[in-house]
Amino acid sequence: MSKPLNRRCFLAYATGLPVAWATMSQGGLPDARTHVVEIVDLAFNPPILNVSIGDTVKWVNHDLSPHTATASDDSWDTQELVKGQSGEIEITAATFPRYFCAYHPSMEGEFVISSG
Amino acid sequence: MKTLTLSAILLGLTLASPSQAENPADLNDLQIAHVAYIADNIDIRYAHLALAMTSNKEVRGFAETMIRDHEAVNQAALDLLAKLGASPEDNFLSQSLNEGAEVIIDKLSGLRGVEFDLAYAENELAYHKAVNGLIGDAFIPNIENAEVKALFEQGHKIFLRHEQHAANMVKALK
Ligand SMILES: [Cu+2]
Repeated sequence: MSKPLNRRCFLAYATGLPVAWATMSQGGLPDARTHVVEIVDLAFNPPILNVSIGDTVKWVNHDLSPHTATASDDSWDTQELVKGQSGEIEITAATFPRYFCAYHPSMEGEFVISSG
Repeated sequence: MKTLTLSAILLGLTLASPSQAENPADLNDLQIAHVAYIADNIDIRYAHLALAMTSNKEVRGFAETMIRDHEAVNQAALDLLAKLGASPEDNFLSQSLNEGAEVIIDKLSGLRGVEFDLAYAENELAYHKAVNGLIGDAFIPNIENAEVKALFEQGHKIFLRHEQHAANMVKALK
């Protein structure tokens, strides 16, 4: 992986700026990416995410109130994320693509999963 | 002004005589912080009552969210006041809120089953509507400290979501 890309990743995390994506190298899976979903003002940002099998999705909660990212069919769950906490899942072919916050059910998000 | 009057009625405030200038918009930052702390604690009390009374899964989930969120907001408020070296100040509105809550808790405690669930849900809707009116119309425009104001703006967003959630719960229970 090239240096500029790594530095961009580092900056995205270090500055804490809202980033819809971050390209990170993962051991063994050179193309796998980590996508960051920011939870701000009781919303998942971005609400719709394009992901590939093998990618990781990471949620970071910036709100005062605790939240979760929970599959709409309950098949996966980050569990409670308090302010400043993050949780992640890895995307597989079986990952259910819609989710919500178990504490604030009107908060919803989804993935568009490609097999790349 | 209309909103404030409606809020006052919904909160069960005894209407002060016109000569008494007890207007929520006249409270200082430390009095506003006290009102917010009391208002959070009242909703936490309602939620604990609901957890003891209800067997409805949605109502239970809502009450748990009220406890979790209002405790988080209160903790942030206490942390901020500690950082600012300030203490909240008791005032007429905090006292009226507490008196109103006693009446409502008495009333809710006498109900059972779906009757309780619906009354709790309707009270949550009315209560969040009233408190959100106070925060949006009387508090946020008048808070002087920028950090306190920012905290109220965050709280307001959370409580508006609670109001919407309560409205959905009322609809589902009817
Ligand atoms: Cu939530």
